[in-house]
Amino acid sequence: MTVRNGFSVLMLVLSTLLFSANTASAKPKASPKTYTVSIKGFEFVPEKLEVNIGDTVIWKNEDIVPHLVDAFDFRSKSMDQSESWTYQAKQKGDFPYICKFHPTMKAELIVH
Amino acid sequence: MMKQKLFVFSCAVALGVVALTNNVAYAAEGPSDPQIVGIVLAADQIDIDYGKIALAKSKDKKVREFAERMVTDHSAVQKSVIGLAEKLGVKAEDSSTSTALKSGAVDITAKLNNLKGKEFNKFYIDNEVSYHKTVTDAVDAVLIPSAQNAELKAALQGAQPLFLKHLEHARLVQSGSGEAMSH
Repeated sequence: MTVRNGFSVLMLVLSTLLFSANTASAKPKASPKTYTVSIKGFEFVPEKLEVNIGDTVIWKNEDIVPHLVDAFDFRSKSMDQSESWTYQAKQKGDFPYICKFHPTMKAELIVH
Repeated sequence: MMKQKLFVFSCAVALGVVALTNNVAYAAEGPSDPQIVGIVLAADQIDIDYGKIALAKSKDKKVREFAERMVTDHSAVQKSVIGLAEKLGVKAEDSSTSTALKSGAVDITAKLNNLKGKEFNKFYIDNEVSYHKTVTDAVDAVLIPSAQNAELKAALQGAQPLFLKHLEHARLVQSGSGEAMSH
């Protein structure tokens, strides 16, 4: 084996090792999920929901009267019966929210 | 003069509550399904009418938001009750309770029409607290147990959270908070 060939083999081995190491340490990224919060009987169900950035949350109004999700950082449209509103989680944090129309309806969205 | 007026208004609210409570006690004998529909429609319409007066007279943001909600929500309930009654073939009937509710509302409406500004806001919200408390008690103690039709009973049970949330909302406005969270 020539010096040149030996060097090439060494580089190949090092590259393979580095690639393997990278592959092993990289956490597999979870694909975004979609969650549904039902608004039923004047309650948000579930009352507390934990999601990851990039996940989608759909609020669906199953009551006969309109509801409107209102947090500090986001606000839905007014949802009549059977209507829904979709929100994609874009920033980490705890987001307590209420129904703007019925302010004693409270729930929380936690984004990791 | 102001104190005298407030005293008169407070008495009116108290009398209204007593009258409604007595009606509820009377109704404990058990209204029929058509009478239950009549009571719910009357109670709903009364609160819609109070809300419309508040929207016409009040400039207070929290009072107006609450009044708007009462008109919207009770109109939706009204529509739902009428639809259910049609489906079940139940025709609303008057009863001593619905008649007393309506006659009590005449007095309250007259007082609402005569008041202005802060006095109006206070009387309206105080009455809403009393009214929703009475209605929620009546739904629990009289209407739900008396309902014979399973769908009507379920509809009353389904509507109860709405009346309770309205009561909580009215108490928030009454306490001066207006909203559960500051925005």
